Amino acid sequence: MSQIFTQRLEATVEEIGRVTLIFGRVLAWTFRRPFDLRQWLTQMVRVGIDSVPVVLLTALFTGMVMALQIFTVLVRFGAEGYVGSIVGLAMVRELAAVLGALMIAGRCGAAMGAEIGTMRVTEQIDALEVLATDPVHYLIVPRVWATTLMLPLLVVLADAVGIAGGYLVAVVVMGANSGTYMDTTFQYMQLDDLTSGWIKAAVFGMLIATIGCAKGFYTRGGAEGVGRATTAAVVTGSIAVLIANFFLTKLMF
Amino acid sequence: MTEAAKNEAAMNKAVKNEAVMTQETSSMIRVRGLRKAFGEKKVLNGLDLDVARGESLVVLGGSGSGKSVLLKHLIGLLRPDEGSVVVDGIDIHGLDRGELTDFRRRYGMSFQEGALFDSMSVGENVGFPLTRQRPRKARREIQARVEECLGLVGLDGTAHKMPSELSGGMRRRVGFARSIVLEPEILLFDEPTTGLDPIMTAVIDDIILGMRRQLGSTAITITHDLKSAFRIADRVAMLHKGRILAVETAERFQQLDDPRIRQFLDGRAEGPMTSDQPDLESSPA
Repeated sequence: MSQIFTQRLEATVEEIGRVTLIFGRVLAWTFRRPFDLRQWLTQMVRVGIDSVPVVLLTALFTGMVMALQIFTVLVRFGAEGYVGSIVGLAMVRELAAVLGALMIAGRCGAAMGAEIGTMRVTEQIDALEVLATDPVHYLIVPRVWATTLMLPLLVVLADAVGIAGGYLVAVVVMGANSGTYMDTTFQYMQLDDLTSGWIKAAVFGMLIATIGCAKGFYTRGGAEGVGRATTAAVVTGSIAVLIANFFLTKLMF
Repeated sequence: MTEAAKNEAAMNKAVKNEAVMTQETSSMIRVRGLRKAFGEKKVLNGLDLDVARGESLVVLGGSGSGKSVLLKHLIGLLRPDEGSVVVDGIDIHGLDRGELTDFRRRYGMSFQEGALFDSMSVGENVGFPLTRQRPRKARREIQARVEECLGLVGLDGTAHKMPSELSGGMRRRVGFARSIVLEPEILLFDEPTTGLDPIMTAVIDDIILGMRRQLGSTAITITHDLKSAFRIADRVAMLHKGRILAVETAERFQQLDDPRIRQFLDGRAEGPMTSDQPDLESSPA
């Protein structure tokens, strides 16, 4: 039993070491020439533009269900006027960033793990090295920074759509007062509430991409290995987001 | 034989002889005591090898004998457990990551399965080394060189295609074209002609010979194709049990009477090579 625990612990420490090592190499290569503008733009489109529908749908329905739940509870105390405030704060401080990040971990973290993993097992990464191109510089640097940059932008949109979803349910479906709802939504919201969500999103983006790329980069063992790397990219990325969320929230508030 | 073919054969022989004669004095690649194990499996077992500047060396050996592992050590893709690889006076495993990346500009390497970047077209694959050069060449210049290299391997007009649209043999030829696009001084080929028809095999052989003749490139080729091997080789090396069993000129190699080499050259299923094979796994470090 203790042997299994020790092995698991060793494996976890090794994983953390690998991800840290990759991130160190990302930092070291970020400002070195040549800058592959096409790679950067491709990744920004894949993570940002292509993820807009899934992130916005998540935010919309989260805002709607939050309004539904909170309205039915607060109406018991006659406090339904605060629904907008609670939905708005929950979205911008927490839900848009965390749920958006989990969606990106599933969508983009998995894709990065699978793509780089396939490149590893088909010797494409060896080919890059042979062609005097550092694979971390060429493949991982654009992915990490594109995700770090695009996830907060997605969260800005998700904030707005989540609040709109809450408004839709509370006002149109549940019959809350439109003016009151909008007033309370923004009355208690401060700039810090918004920026904390965006900062968290940037950190989550960095974690998801670094973990996804590291899992792919160290893939071994053909198609089965690629499958394992893809699963691990999503699972580890999601867990890292949830753990980092706690510590970031504790740090910022 | 036509007059031109005779001249070419004579020229090749002269270049080969010259390469062999100067081999002792000007080693381009010097491998000493190379050992590599993957887990329990010992693949390279104290391997020594010298490759002269401008020489074409062919490495023969059974499947799984560690030929590709040797090739990957020569370009620093794998690090040895013990031993050294000195290329043009530089111990490549002593270089840091950035220095090694720069040093690799002197190499061209083609992989067994081509290792083409599947997100890029054939033309982008072949042109990739050119786009990474600084100062960067003009787009038209890159396109012209890409077309030239694709033409050399009989793939004119395929630049716009994606690797997934090509057959295995075509992908290998594109990989070959990519490895020669910069006209490097050291060429490493991992089974460049496997799966190609005899005519295309001869075309690839001619390119390897031509690169050596025109640019003085040093070439190390792994192949199972004996006809091709003896056509392009100045010297032939036999890898067995993680060590070099013999290195001889192409002519002398064919006369060797070592039973293991004879079995390989004669293509017999029964013999010392096959009965020795299990020892490879447990050979002493």
